[in-house]
Amino acid sequence: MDRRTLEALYTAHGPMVLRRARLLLRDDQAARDALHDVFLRVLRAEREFRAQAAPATWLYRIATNHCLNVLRDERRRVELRARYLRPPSEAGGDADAPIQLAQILRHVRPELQEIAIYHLVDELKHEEIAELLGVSRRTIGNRLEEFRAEVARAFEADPEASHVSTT
Amino acid sequence: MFPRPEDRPSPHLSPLALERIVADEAAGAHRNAARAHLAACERCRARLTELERDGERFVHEIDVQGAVGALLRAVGPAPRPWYRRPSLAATLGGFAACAVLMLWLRGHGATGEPSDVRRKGSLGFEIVRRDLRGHVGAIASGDRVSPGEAIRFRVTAREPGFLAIVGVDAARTVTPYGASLALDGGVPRILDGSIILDDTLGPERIIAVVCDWPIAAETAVALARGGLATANRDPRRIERIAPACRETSVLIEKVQP
Repeated sequence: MDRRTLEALYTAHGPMVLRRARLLLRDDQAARDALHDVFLRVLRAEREFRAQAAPATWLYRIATNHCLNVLRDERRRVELRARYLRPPSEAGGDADAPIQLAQILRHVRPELQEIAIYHLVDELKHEEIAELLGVSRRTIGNRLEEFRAEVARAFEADPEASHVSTT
Repeated sequence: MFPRPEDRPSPHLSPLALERIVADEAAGAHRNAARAHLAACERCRARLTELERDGERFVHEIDVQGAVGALLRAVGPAPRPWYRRPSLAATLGGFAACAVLMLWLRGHGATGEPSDVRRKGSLGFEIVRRDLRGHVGAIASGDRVSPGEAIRFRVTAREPGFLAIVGVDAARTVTPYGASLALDGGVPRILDGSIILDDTLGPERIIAVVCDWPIAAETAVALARGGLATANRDPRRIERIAPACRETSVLIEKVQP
């Protein structure tokens, strides 16, 4: 990909990727790092990117999964969990999203985390999630039921989580 | 703890829906529904405006050129594609093809450079015809041609890219004449083989498109059909079919000999 094309793509889609990363990571430097890493992936998977009929939608998902990978990183989880459990006035941004996000990461298996993010944090409708992931709406409903069941089992087994409030 | 998945339908556009609108990716029924909602929802209009302003702030906040430079350094130089690697066989083959074309042109009385080289920006597109009497020469927009005559294409792009050529005739049939053909910058490419003009009389627009990525024949055909639809199904009125690419065309008139 030549420089001019990449600059155009970066300018067109970079704002969305950075917004996504800031929402999910709640750390500006981590979000800028994620911005770089997501576009690095675009460059390394240029053929796949070119094949996308809807590049912004593809990047939305790539950015989400990248941020989930960052949050799953063992070293970062500790500091981010501490940040998420601070009062909303200190944490900044959307107070609800990070609290829900921390619970998701602690208690849900990875394949359900992405769907849970779209449903709980982004409040996407089932058909939107289905279209985004290329699966049926029924599959999304089933996965979300699995997610609820896993969280319910996890909270029964983990009293430490009970002090974190949800909306 | 968490409500049942179905219990939280939002009355507003989702973040994804808004991002699609900003990126102009919302289409069909989704776009119509989003537009209808925006017309009635001040909150979503405000969210959309904020996203658009965020995009404007981005270029002031982020050093885009510096970031892109860092990305390109991180991936390193791209390996030369096979069609750009020098090889004796390819070089000799190229010379041989040019020699054959020149002999064909010279043997049929063609002199000098074709008179009509359509150039749109950095793209040159020549159509050379061999008529029913065997005479060879370049054709320009508006020229008359006849069924049974043969045409060949020569394309020169200032910057490298991938070429596709399609024709849209008076019967509104879209025919791909070439697709995903790699072009080196500044090097003329003569497409292999001649095309024998068929019996469909009337105007035909032949469009050459060069993009930074390969275009499959199906994609080129779809783009041309879109352009034809926009032109009220008149090949003479087709304008750009691929706004993201370099493009030029020649309009010929097919008549009985």
